[in-house]
Amino acid sequence: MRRYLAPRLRDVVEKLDTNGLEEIRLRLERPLMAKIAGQFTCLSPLGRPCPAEAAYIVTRDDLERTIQIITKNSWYAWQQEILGGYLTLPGGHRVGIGGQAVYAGGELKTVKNVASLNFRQARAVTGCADSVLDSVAPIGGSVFSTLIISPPGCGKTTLLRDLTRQIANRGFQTVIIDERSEIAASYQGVPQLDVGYQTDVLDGYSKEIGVQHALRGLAPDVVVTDEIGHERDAWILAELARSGVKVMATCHGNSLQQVRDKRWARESLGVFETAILLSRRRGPGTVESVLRLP
Amino acid sequence: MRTVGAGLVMLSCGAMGLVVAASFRQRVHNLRQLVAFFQALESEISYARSTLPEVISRQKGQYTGVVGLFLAVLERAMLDGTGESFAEIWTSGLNVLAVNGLPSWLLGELRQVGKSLGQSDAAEQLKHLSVLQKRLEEAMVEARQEEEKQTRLWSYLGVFSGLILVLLLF
Repeated sequence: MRRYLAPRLRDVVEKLDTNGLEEIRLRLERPLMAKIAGQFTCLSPLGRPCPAEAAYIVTRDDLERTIQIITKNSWYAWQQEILGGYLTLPGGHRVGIGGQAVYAGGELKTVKNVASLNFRQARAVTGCADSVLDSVAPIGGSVFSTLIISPPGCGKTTLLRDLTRQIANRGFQTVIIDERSEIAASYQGVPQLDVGYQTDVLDGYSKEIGVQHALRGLAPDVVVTDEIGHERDAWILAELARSGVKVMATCHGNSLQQVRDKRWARESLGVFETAILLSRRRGPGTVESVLRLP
Repeated sequence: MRTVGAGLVMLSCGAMGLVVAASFRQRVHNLRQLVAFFQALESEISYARSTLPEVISRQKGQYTGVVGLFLAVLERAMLDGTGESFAEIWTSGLNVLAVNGLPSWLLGELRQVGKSLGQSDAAEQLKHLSVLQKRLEEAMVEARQEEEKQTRLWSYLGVFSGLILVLLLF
């Protein structure tokens, strides 16, 4: 991630012990911060954890140069991503962008005066789905349509990614509809995280369009997508079920019952054959239970 | 011996005149190449949203002389990724273009473009480029008129100054 920072910031972060580095936060005229092993800390000009008063203060020049580096001096080329609030970098790292919104005709047209950049280290946890793989795709059998449920920050997407990788590598033709580039973290069409060699990634597609394209042209056995929960997702799930395509998805929730009470689930939960519940009880990705759905 | 000397003086003065005349032709050629480059950039931004380094590295092989050199300087600096701002990179590229006598007002326009190129959304970029194209076309008209006048003038001037020198010396 360091090479995408402005030279002065790079010098500061260069001296930082990057073991466990999760985030680097740049806020205009405020202290440079990093998240290391789950803890936020301000960074001194020497790259050491320090109180806010002694921290390196991020300047407009730092932000502008950093933006030029991450956009390759071509803001217009990342317009769609910027309007979505983030950019994906080579390696799958993501940069969240905060600034001043400019609307035209009721639509977000651009973001100006960027004042915040949040660099998030991409990390795939290879093998994290080992314990649930046989429940989702028994050897010699088919794939069960699976819903991964947890509150935010419990590793739903990480588990989904590793499941996708393993299922695709077992020979199932898999399509990821990666609306927010979070599953495959594609950069210029190339998945930066391992999602298996028999996986097609529809990067940045909406679920509606992605499902149509996948069914029309890519003949998948399994369609993978993140964060379902909107009412219109019911149509997508029905479309996949009608086509005999299995689906693996994630959804926010604390329990299966909580998900059942949601409007989209009343119509569409029946599509799923398996539910995996995650928590952070023993760290992110703790599998609480694997349920076979009626 | 005198005849050979006179011939050499005539030849060198004539050649000097032709060199100066050729520089006016070269200026028109450079402007034509700049117009072509910015047209290509406009299309790439409009239809493919290609990044500036992509456009420059794809295009640079198609241009010769100072425009090719200008693009090569830009490409090298951008690939270095030293964190130099694009405006700084662009200015160092313009120093290469400046040596071929582009009018100072046009260099000023180009410098301004460097401050905004790549810094906004596609619609804004296309507006900037369309204004620049108009200015480049104006510069082309001026340069063509200059070429017509100056090429003939300097060709004759070279020959006649050679003749005068010969008469004076011998």
